[in-house]
Amino acid sequence: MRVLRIALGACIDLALFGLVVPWAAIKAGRLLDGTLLSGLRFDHPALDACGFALTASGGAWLAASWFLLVRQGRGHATELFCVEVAPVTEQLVARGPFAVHRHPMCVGYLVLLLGIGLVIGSPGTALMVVPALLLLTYVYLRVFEEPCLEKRFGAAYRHYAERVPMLLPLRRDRIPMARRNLLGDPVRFVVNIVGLSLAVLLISFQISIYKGTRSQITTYIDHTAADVWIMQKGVDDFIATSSVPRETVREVERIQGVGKASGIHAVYTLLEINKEKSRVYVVAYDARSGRGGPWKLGDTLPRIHGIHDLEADQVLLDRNLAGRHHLELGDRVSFFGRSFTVAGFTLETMSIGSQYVFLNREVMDRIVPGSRHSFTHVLAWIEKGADMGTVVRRIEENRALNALTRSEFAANTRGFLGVFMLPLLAGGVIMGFLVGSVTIGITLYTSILERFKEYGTLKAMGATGLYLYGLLLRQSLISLLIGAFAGFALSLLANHFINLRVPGMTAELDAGTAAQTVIAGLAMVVLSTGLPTWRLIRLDPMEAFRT
Amino acid sequence: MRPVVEGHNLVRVFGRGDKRVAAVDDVSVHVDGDELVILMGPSGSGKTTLLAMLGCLLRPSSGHVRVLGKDVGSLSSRPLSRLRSESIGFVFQGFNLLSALSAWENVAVVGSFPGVRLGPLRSRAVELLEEIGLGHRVEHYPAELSAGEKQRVAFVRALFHRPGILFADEPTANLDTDNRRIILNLLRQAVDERNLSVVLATHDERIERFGDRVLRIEDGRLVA
Repeated sequence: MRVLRIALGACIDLALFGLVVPWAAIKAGRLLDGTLLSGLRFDHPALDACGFALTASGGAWLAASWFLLVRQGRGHATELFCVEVAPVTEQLVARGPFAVHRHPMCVGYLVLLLGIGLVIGSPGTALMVVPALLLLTYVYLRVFEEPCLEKRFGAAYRHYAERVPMLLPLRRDRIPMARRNLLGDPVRFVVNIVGLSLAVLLISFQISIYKGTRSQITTYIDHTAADVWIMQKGVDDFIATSSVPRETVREVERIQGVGKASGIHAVYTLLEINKEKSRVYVVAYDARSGRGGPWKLGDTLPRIHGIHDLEADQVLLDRNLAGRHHLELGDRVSFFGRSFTVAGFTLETMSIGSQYVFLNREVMDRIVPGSRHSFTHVLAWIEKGADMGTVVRRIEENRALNALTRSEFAANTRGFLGVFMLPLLAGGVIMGFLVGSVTIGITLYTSILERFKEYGTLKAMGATGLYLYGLLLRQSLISLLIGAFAGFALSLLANHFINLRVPGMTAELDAGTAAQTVIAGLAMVVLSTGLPTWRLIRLDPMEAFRT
Repeated sequence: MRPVVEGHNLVRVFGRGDKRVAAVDDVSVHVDGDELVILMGPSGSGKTTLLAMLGCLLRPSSGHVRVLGKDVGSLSSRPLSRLRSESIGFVFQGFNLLSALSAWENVAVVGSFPGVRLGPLRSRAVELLEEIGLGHRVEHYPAELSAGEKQRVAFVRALFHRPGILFADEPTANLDTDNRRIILNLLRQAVDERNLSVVLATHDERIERFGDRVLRIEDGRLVA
């Protein structure tokens, strides 16, 4: 019977925590990635490395705790909502990971999920689902598990709980002065947090808008990821009209170092939707290879499973454009004197003042005179190890062509389109950065000054400068951490609103933006705590009372 | 017997130029072990300034202070902090309790600076609070205590680290008659039973009888 119960417990554990919870967490995370967090990308190698490290350490912590629980506790942890599934532990385990916190298996599991969220590049999983699970875990442990454990182990568990923290491995052998000072005046604390979060919002939102607009200008160039762009001589950006003979594709493909090449038609035109006109880039791409086509699809008609499935009278168009005109899948739009069915929505395909519409190149050949013999641009992807400069020179041996690397072409296009907009936005970023940083500094500084007399008392009682600096630093860091979390959440909401509701604008919050904001905040923490500490150290305690 | 605290030719000047005021002007004083010295003077006479200089809370403009044989002027910041946290207790007129900490934490905080674990500190703080009849108030915050209770907590805090000398600046100024008597008895008891030296600054003539010795200060100078 005991063996059966252990097996049942193991099965429930594996099914619930090995399959259901991770699946649901990732699913929910992905849902958030595609909606609320669509502007946030977790694709930095450092985040991957961090994710692997967290997954491994979380898994190891979980395994070590489980092993200790079974071996020393002589039982299992499968007790759900106070119902004992497998035989429960007979002895209280208080060493190893259990000496660090009372629920190391929960902590290890959540760290593991956080790591997975980073590894799969899902900000939704890492930033929203895991914190939500932490909250649920906390409530579950408080309401169900801890009372059961207290009932089972009595005073021993109560003493253990007094000594060892529940989840976060914080020391319990010191007066939590920083936390007390912060929470001692809840209204003031909330006001501080609101101030800090708005400052973080101001900084991160300005940077998000700048970065979003900057990458918006070259979104097509960046995402098609062609290494070399080939146009007619004299054309060096994505705005000017170009015409390249069709044979160029084969010519380029024959050049040593070129892996593949593909031609596109990129035409700036007016799109008629419900009798309203919008400026769009129509890009006709080779639907068979998919090269030059959209890179991220949203909702599509049932028959459209990818960018290769586009039929003759169908187009894929930017989701924001569709949203603005209340277009739905299957609706009709007109351009080049023809009517097309909206077969799907594309993501990240909005540029300054215009959006992208994609159609099958073969259709373009039929409806636009002259396009049968030429492309506007030829995109080339070079072979691994080939020298980019050499390839460009070889392409330009054809004196009718101009070949540019992706970064050159993007810079030229950005220079042309962003010449007015980007300096303005950069000014906004600098202002936002200054105002936000100063707000953070002043908020933290004034909150310290409010208790300056008390710090003078501490000094009078023998607190050293280092102790006082540590105390002020902890207070400021806790405030900044909470303020930054709230500020980034607000920024994500603001970005989401902008991306969805404000035509022609994109806001992009990435790890770099978050890091820049946090670094600005940390610099302000150092300043705003350093100055009062310096004053405290210089002043006699008696003078501090009088300040 | 070697004095516990000595002040030699102490001068403390506040302000600059025309606004220059000598709050304490050439005062020499000493306090021996196990004695309660009353520093009596009217408001603005310089007693708080003198007390602060003797208690290492304020540097003199000139002159020097020795506490338990150590020349305070020669101490750098860290040894001075250690001297305050190990050897000196201070009771302030305005209590100066830390508003975010409970009664026992206010008492124990002084012991936590050197990195002592909280467990033993808590036991001792609670024990001391119980001794002065505040056993039922250990978890209360300053805002929840009466003025008399606050001053008793401040008094226990000043004794917590077993100092050699305790300075009390108008400790009874904000208290009613009953609480004044309690605090003064506690101070007297501390001198008689704990071998502590106490310097008590006050303007209240009624307190004079509690002291072993009375020093009178007027306009920054000792007059008797």
